[in-house]
Amino acid sequence: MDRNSPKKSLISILAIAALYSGLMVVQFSYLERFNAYALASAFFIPSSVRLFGVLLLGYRTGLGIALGGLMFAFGVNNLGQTPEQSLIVSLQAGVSCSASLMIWAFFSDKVSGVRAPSIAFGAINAFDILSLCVIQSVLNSGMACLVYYLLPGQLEPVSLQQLATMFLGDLTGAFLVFILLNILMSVALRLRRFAGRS
Amino acid sequence: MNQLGQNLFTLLGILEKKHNLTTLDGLHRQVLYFVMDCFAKDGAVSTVNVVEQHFTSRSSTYRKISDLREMGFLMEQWREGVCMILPGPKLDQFIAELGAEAGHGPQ
Repeated sequence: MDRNSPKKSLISILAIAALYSGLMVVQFSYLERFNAYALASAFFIPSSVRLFGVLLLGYRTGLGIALGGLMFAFGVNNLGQTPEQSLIVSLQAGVSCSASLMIWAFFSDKVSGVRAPSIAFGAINAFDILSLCVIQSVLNSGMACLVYYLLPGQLEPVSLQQLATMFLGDLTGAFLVFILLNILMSVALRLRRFAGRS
Repeated sequence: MNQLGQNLFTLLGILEKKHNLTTLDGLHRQVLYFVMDCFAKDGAVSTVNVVEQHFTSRSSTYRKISDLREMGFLMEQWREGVCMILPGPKLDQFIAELGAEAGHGPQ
């Protein structure tokens, strides 16, 4: 089956949505202590889905993120938002996610093409990942705070501290999870190699 | 799906590739391949020859050689004040594995 076939795209969008909403549940159930504000956390693990999503699946990740946000808001916890607010906030998360890939593709020499980015996976290093994380964090926190500010019936007062917290949360959530998964992979490889030797 | 899995595997191995956290990867392999090449050409190589390749720092290179010796891929023998590197007991097995990975027998 073609990688970009509608069926495969749909499956990947649904998978991203399920993973994103699942991590949102974990975030708001078990990691609430990192929430400095009702809608801003200093460690926001769902942003790791945005990172891996755009790297592996490209622009369609934005749709998955928006859908995942809606699934969480309408199925689990609306975080005190009206349905209209949930819809706009979820769409903003999806748009900022896809836009981050476009900006990264434009600036990075490891990515060719902006319309359909092709990533040289063998060449990218941790700094490339960090740069994508920073772009995602700036875009998402900036756009989110703008949306919170402009939305009728403001969700909560927008402040510079909230923006900084959101930026930090998106950055740590994506990059630290990336580092952690890399370390786990290293441990798994070592265990497998040692097991193979014994 | 296979391509997706490969890309994910590459992403999760970025630090591994960069810092050579596991045994027999990156610099270990570079050192081992260089030593194997020397065996094939001259049949003799010293630790100084390996250090002179500047794969990494001097101390790190000695550590790589030491790791490879402990794993049984190489042996060391002092000859007239020079530390010579010799094939270890596990080197033949490693060459056979390399051949299998490449889809043909050892060369």
